[in-house]
Amino acid sequence: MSLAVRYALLAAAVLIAALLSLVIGPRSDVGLGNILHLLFVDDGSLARSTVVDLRLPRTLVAGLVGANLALAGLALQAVTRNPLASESILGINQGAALGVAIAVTVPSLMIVNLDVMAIIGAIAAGFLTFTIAGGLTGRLDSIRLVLAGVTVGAFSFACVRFTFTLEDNLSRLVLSWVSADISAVRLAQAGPLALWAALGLAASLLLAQGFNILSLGDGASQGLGVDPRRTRFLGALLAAILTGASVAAAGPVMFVGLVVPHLCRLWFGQNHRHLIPAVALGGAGLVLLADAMSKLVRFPYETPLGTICALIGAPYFLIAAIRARRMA
Amino acid sequence: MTGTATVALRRHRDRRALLLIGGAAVLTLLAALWSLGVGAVAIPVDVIVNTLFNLDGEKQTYIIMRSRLPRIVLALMAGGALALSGTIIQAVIRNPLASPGIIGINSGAALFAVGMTILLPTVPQTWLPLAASLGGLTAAGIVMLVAHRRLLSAAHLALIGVAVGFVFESGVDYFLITSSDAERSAPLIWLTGSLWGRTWDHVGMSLAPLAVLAGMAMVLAYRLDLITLGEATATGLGLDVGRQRLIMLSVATLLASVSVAVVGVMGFIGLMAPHIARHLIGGGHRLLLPLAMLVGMLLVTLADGVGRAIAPPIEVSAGILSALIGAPFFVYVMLTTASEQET
Amino acid sequence: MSITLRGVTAGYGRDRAVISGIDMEIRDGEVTILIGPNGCGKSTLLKTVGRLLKPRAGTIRVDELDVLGSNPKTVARAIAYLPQDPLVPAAITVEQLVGYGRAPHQSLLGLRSARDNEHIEHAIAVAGIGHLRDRPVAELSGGQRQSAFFAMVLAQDTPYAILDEPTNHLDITHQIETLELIRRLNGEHSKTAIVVLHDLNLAARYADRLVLMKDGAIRADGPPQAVLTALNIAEVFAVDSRIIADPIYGKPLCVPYPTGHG
Repeated sequence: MSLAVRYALLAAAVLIAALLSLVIGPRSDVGLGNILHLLFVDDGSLARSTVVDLRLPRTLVAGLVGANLALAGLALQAVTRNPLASESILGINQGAALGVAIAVTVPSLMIVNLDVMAIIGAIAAGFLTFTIAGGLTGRLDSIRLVLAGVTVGAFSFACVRFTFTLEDNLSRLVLSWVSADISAVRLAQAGPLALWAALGLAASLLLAQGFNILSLGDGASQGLGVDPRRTRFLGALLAAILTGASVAAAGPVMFVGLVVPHLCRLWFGQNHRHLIPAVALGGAGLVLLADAMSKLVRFPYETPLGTICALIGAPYFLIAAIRARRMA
Repeated sequence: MTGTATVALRRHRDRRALLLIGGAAVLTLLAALWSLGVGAVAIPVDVIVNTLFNLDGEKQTYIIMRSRLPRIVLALMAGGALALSGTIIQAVIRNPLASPGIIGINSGAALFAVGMTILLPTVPQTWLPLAASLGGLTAAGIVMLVAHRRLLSAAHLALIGVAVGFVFESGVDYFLITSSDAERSAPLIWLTGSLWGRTWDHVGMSLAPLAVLAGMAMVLAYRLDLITLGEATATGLGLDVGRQRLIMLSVATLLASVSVAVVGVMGFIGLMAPHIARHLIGGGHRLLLPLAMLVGMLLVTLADGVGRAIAPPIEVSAGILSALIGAPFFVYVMLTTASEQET
Repeated sequence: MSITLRGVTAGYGRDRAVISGIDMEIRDGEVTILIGPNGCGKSTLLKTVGRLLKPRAGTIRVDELDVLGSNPKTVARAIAYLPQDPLVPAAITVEQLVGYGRAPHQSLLGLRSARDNEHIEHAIAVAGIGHLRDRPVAELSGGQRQSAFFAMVLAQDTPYAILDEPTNHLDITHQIETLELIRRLNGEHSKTAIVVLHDLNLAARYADRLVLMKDGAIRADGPPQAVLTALNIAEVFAVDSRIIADPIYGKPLCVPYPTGHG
C-alpha cells in the first residue's frame, strides 16, 4: 500500500470520526442522513443551531487539540529519543494546566491572555523536567526524565488541585475544566487553536529532517551538520507551545501525544517527514473518536473528554511500558 | 590502622549517629508541642502542659485532647510510615527520585478508597484503611508481578509503576467526575492529604498495623543495604533478590497505603525524608531507617502546624504544604546531584 | 573440591541460547581464565554459575552442593561472584562495603561477630585499602573502587571466586594491580579464581588454565601454551597471528596482524 493511499485512508477515517462526533448525541433529529444538510443549509431549525452553535465548535476544538497534542508528543519523542515520552509524562501538560489555574484564580497575575499563560506554564514545566534529567545537553538519562517528569507533573497537579480548595464556587468549574470538558466550548476558541495548529504543522515539517537525524545520536548529528542542541530546544519549545495552546482551549488531555505517534509509526514508518502529517491527522481522528465516545459511554450523560482519553491512554501507556525493551 | 584504632573510630561514628537520631527525636517532640499550640485558637505552652499532664491551672481540654492531639499523633504516624516506605522503595529501585507514589501505591490506595466511598456509601469509614491497603497492594502487586516475571531492572520497574499510577489516577478522576457534588466533596478534600477533622478513631484504626509494619521495616535494614548493591552483587552475596524485593515492596506498600487511608495522599514525604536522612547519616539502613522515620514525622507535624498557623482560622492542608515545599526541594536536590548509576 | 558443569545451556529471555551443552570442571587451586570474542558466552557462563541467570538445562555442582537448587546463602559461602561494573550505592564507606562481604555468614539482621571483624580487617589489609576505609566508595577512583570490591569478595571467605571482567575500564596500572591481586589470592590464600578477561596476553600470563570460547561452546581448554596457538586464534577471532614467548615470563604472547600481511 503506497503512502498516498495510507494518507487517504487516514483522512477518510478522520472525516468519519468528525461526522460521528457531530452526529452522536441526545437529539433524534440529527443523524448521518441529514448532517450535511444541517451543516450547509440554514433552515433556522433547532437542529441546525445545535449542530452549528454547539457541536461544530466542539468537534473543531476536539480535532485541533488532537492534532496539536499529537504533534507535540512526536516532537518530544524525537527530542528525547524515548518512544515513551509525551507531554503528560514529562509534566508539560500539567504545567500548562497550572498556568491556566493560576491565571484563573489570580486574575491580576494574568498580564497576557489565557493561551499564553498556559504556554508559559508548559514551558516552565518542560524546562524543569529537562534540566533535572540532565539538561538539553545530550546525556538525557531516560529514567531520570520519566521520574522528573512525573514529579513535576504531580507537583503542578497538586497546585492545581490546591486552587480548588481556595474557593468553593470554583471547585466544580475547575474540576470540569481539569477533566477537559469541552461540551460548552465556543467557536471563538477554535480560531486561535487552528492558528497554532497551522503554525505547529509548518514548524514540525521544517524540523522533520532534524528530528530524523537526531535519532542517530548527538555525535552523528553534529557530523551531519545538524546542531543537536538547537534542534532539541526548538522541538521542546514547539511541544510546549502546542500543548499550552491546547490546554488553554480545552483543558489538559492526557496521553494523546503518546498513543498517536506510536500507532502512526506502525503504519507510516520512522521518517518524520511522513510521520508529521500522519500524526496530525491521527491525533485529530483519535480525539474526535474520544469526543464521540464521551457522549456514548454513560448515555444519556456525558463524560468529559479528558477522562475518556485518560481511560484509553493510561492502559496503553502501561502496556507500552511493560513491552519496552530498552529504556532509551 | 590498628584494631583498637578502628574500633574507636567506629564507636565515634556510631556515637555521632546516635546523637543525630536523639536530636531528631527531640526536635520532633518540640515541633509536636508547638503544633499543639497553633491554629484558630492560639494556646500558650503552659496551658498545653497543664492539659496534657492534667495539672492545676488553665486547661484547654477539648481543643487539645479532642481536636489537636489526635491530629498530631496521626501526623507523627503518617509521617513516619511514609518516610519508612520511601526509604525502602528508594533502596529497592536504587534511585533517589523514587517514592511510594512512583510505584502507583498512592493512586491505587486513592482509587479503592474513593471507590468505596462513592460506590458503597453505607460502609463505615473504619473500613477505609483496608480498602486503601487493598488498592495500594493491587497497584504495587501489578508492578511486582510484571517485574518478577520478566526479571526487570529497577529503572524499568519504576517506569511500570508510573504507568500503573496513571491508570489508577484516571480511575479516580472518573469517579470524581461521575459523582455528584455531595458525593465528591469529602473524597476530594481527603485526596489532597490533610489532617483536618481527624479523630482518635483514625488513630485507633491505624496504630496497630503501622507499628507492626514499622517493626518489620527495621528488621529489613541489612537486607536493604545488600539490595542497594544491585541485583548482581547482592545475588553473589547470597541474597534471594526476587523474594526479598517482594517482601520489601509489600511492607513499603502497606505502610504507604495505611497512611493514605487515614490522611490522604501526601506525595513528597516519602521522597524528602529519606533524602534528608541519608545526607545526614549515610546509607547504612540500620541507622538510616530510624532517622528517616523521625524526619518524616517532623516534616508532617510541621506541615500540619504551619498550615494552621499561616492564616488562622483558614487551614492550608498538610498535603498541599508538603507538596509546595517538597517539590522545589526535590528539584534542588536533583539539580545538585549527579546521575545515579543505573542498570 | 571442584565446580562441575554438565550440559549447561542458557540464554536471555526467549532468544536463542547463548551457551549450549557446556561441560566443564574447575579444579581446585587454579586460576582459570575465560577468553573469547564478544557474544561467545563467557560472561553468560559465569552468570549461570553465579546464579544470576537460570540455565535452561544442565547442572552445576560445587562438590556435592547443587548450585541451582540450594539456598542462595549456602552457595554464597562457597562461591563469591563479582559482576562486571558493580553498582556503587550512595553514601556507603569502604569499610561498610567490605563488611557486606560477610553477609552469607551472618543472619539477616547483619550483626557482626568478632570473626566477621577479623575477616573484614584482613581483607582490607590484603587489598591495601586501609587508608581509604572511611571514604565513601562513590568518591574513589576506578582502580580504588575495584580494590574495595575485591576486599569485599575476600571478606566473603569462599574457596571459589568468580570475577566477570574485573579489569573493565581500568588503566594498565590498575589492570596489572588487579591481576596481581588475583594471583596473590590464589597463591597465598588458596582461592580458586575463575575470571573473564578481554586481553589475550594478560590472560595467558596470569592463567593456570585458559578456556577459549566461541559461539557458546568451548573451543580449547588447557594450559596457556596449548590454547594460545595461531591456529586457535585464527579460528576463533578470524585474525592471523604469531605466538612468541614473552621475554619476561616466558608465557605465550600473541602478536596479531591482518590477513595477508604475514
